[in-house]
Amino acid sequence: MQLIQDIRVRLDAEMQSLQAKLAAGEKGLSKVFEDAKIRYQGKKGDISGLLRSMGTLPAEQRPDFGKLVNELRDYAEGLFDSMQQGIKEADIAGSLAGSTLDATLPGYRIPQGSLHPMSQVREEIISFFQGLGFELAAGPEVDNDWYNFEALNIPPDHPSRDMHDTFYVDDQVVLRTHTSNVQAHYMETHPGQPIRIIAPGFVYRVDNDATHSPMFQQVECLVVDKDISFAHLKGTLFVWARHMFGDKTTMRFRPSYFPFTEPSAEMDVSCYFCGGQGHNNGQPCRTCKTTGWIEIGGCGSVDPNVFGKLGWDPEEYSGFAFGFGIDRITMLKYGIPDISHLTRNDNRFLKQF
Amino acid sequence: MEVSLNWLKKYVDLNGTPGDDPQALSQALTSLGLEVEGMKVSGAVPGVVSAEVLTCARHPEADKLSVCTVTDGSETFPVVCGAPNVAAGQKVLFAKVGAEIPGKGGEPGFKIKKAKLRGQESHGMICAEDEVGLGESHEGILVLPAETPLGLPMEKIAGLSDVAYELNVTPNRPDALCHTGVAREIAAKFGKPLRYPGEALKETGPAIAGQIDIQLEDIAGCSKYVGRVINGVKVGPSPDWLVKALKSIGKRSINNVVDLTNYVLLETNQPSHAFDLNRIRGKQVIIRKAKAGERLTTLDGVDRALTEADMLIADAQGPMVLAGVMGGKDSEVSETTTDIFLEVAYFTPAVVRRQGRRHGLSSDSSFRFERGIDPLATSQVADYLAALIALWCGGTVANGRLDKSAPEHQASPRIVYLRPARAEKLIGMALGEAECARRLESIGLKAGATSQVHGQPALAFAIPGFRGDLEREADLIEEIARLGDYNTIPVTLPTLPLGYKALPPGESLSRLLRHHLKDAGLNETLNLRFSSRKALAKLGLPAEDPRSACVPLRNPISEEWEILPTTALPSLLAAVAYNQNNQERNARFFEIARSFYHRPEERSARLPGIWEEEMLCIVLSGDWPDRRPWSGDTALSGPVEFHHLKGLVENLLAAAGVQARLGNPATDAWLHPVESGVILAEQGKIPTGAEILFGSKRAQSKGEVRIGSFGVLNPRVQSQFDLKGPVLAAEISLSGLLAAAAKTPKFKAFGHFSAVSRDLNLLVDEARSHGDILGRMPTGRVSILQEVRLNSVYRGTGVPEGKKALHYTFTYRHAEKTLTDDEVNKAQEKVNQELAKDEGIVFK
Repeated sequence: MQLIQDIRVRLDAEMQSLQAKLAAGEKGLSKVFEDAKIRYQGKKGDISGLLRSMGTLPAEQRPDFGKLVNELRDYAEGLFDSMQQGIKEADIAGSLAGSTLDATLPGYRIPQGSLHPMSQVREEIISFFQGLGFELAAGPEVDNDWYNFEALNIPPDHPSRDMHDTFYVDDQVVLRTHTSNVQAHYMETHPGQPIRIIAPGFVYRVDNDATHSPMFQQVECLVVDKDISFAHLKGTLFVWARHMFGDKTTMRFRPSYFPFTEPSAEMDVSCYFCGGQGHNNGQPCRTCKTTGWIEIGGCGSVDPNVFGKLGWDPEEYSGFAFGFGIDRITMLKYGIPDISHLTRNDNRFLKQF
Repeated sequence: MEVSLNWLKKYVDLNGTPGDDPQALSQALTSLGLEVEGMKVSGAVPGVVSAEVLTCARHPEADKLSVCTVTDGSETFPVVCGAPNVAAGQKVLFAKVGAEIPGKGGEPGFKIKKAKLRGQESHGMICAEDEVGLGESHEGILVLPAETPLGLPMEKIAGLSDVAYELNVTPNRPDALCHTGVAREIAAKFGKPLRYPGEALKETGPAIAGQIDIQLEDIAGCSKYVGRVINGVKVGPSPDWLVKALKSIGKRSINNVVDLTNYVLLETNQPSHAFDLNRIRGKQVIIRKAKAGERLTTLDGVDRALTEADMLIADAQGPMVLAGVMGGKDSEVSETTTDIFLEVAYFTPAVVRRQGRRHGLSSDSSFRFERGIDPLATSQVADYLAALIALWCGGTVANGRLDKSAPEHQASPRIVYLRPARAEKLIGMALGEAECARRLESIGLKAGATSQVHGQPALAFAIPGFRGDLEREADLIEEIARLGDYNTIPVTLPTLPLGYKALPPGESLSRLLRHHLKDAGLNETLNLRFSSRKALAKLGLPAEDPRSACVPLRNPISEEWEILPTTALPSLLAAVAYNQNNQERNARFFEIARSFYHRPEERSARLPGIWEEEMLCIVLSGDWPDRRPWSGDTALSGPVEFHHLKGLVENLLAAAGVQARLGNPATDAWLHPVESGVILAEQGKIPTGAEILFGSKRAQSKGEVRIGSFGVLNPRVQSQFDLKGPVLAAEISLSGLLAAAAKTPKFKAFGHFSAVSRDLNLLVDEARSHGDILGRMPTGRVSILQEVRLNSVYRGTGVPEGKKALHYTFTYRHAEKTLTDDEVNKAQEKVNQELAKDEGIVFK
């Protein structure tokens, strides 16, 4: 029994000394600790020795002895566990304090490229209208005069053709001057079905200066059903404009003329740089040129002649269409001052988006 | 089109309406659909006021200067004036100190300051008309009427200031191309009456019969032709009011007769033409088609060959006028003209448009004829203009009016029915029949009887002749919406059944690829879809390559943009060159660009015979991005290589889920003959784009189809584009990828038992390829062999010249048990035996 008591005293002393060294911040204590642990708990350790020696005791002493040894074993285990925890904690604390990493060095990034700002805006617009249940539709960029003009109520020798500076391949084949050709294709191939389509795409005009590119991107939107009104056009554009330009956006509609819509309108939104004030902190707003409005695009109710040309009954169906320039919205969104940036492909431009 | 505010005010009184403010009027015009694109205010210089010259004496030291005192009614100022006509008692325009005098003809302006002129104080300036933007004259100061009150700012002095509005009039609104037309809109907007111009006609001259005869032959081109004669006219300078009116919208005065025809055109929209009666040979005016070989020298001095399609106004001997477009030199009114033949006609819009285009000519007249003028007003305008000419140019109007009409000529107002309920439904708001009628009548329509259309109550409206664009109910509905202001229409979302439309597969794929390539470090470009045969030729394509058969434009902007591209590679390579010249040497670009292939065999009445194909193009140049910058690990950085591009292609195929094999080399002329490859996709149906580019037979025979090529740019092509350093490129058909895109991956069980590996070093000739050696391994026949990985390709110490060492690691794994050494060794031995059959492979 004394033997058990001796071992216990020795163990306490050893662990206290270790604890003191740990508290003093001494390094390399794991080894000392592990050695001590083996000396007590190992197969040939003191505690195992006690259990082995139990066989030499008289039978009546054995239960008490065994109980004491077990107590010692549990006591040692608790002591070692807490000691081990302390040493581990001290090791971690030491390694944390010892780090010399310069965290201000730049991160190893997987080099990222960029999407063209116009494709980002295009995706955003598609996603918005997809959310409203619109279908993405497409049409050819090189098209027959019929789809680009005649089906849209623009006969030959009509002065409204002056509104389109058209690229011709030959007498019958043109580069589409607007995405409205998709309307003609879609209405022709989907007779008598309610239509909700969004059709972004590149269009072409013989025009090349600081504000015009001969190729630019438009989005066309067409809704056809029974009972569609001009008020619905305004409603749809309103939710889109607020999504695109912010919750405070207001709209203005001005009468205009497109042969394929009637009534026809131009839509302006309040300038989101100056909040429609025309000036920012007393400085004239350069985005809206102090008007407080930004021109966005053309729209209107589908002209009955378009229904007629494409085999629909305008008495039964009505609809609306609108179109706007992705280039323009992109330039507004990112503050791009010159349209030529969009197709010059300067890396210093592309990398910004 | 420009309109003058003062001129508009002749027809509508804006006093007491919001339209009295020029800025508010501008907004009103825009809200009516007559978009104001510019506003020029004249005769309103801040700091310039009406004043009186109190005293005026010669300058003691300068003959040409006067020393004056001037008052604005409250203060008196000493002024030195250089004008010869200045005199005491005059009412003048006086620029006070601080006034900013605008510059003339683009010159900078100046600010009035206190000055001393040869010893005399001068605190202001008495203005000449050119100094305050009222005219060109600098001959003397401008003297105001004696009754002008003192101290009025310039813009408040009656008749002095004006505003010219630049209107963008859409092609459907010819009625708004004149002052009465614009005034009609304003009058409707502000609820004011419109005052039509008029002048009493006195036919006091000799009879017109015998003086001239009209023969209307071309009734398809001219449905109405009205003639008047004015005798004893004196052609000379125009009266001031006329010069001023024309000048207010930037028109030059020519002579009184021509100016009046122009004035009436700008007032009523009706073009007219004045002939010198005595220069009309044979006293005959013939409206006919030109004959082959006829020529006409038009007023712009151009001698024109006429075609048989041209419509003319001719006399007995030949052409006088290209009808509706421009007059001829020979019959022009001149200072010696005493008798005038006046033409007021209605020409068919399309005919005028075609002949204007044919001769590259557009005039104020043709612009209006081709948009359509009022067919009902011809005679009335002829009478009015004749009366004006007699009034302002002297002479008498001959008795009688010659009036030739084709039977088809519209002689009475068109009737159009409106269902108010339909208008409400299409606009989307309640209006009521009375309000619909009120709006339409405010612009000159006349409501008539009610009836039924499609079972709904309808109102008949008589359409005035000047609104030829109002032909259908829809046109009336637009007018109702417009006149009520679009901004009063409700904002309502349509209620449509729920529905979901997934993106089309092509859009999903291109979106996936774009995002994938962006994440892989590439920048997306956008090139104009124009190219040139010259740029295309730089690729060195053989004539039989489908990319060589490009589609040219008939009216290209420039030689560089004369064709539709059959490949975007030249544009992308040019973009790399541009960036290299701007110190951006690491250009890594991609673009999903459209290519246009000529397919004449597919041309039909509605199809253009051009196939449009989306092609993914990639170009890499400069250094491949270092994934551990500043680490000093040079093995990670360096110029872009073939295998960078190959890895990129492999990854994007994997991302797209495409089952495809890379073969090499590619045979494309623009690629390196060795350092290149092709993408071969397994698929049943060959997409058209791939078929056009790579042919169908070959593809079908191998059960796989080529959908793209990639590799190092051919050095000859690289030099054509002046590119530096390594440049790599790829071109892949999107429809090819789409046709090959695989199904969703299916789960394959993987063993939980540990894998065992064996390494092998093989020494081979430099010419032997990894693919070749891999092909010799019995991978399919050793079931436990899971993976063969190439660890390194080594050349150098220990490896003889002309040889290379390939280090492979073989991984073995069994799905249901742990492999023993013996089992692995046996399997590896099988591999080794197979490789040993090849005498070119030496085990190290």
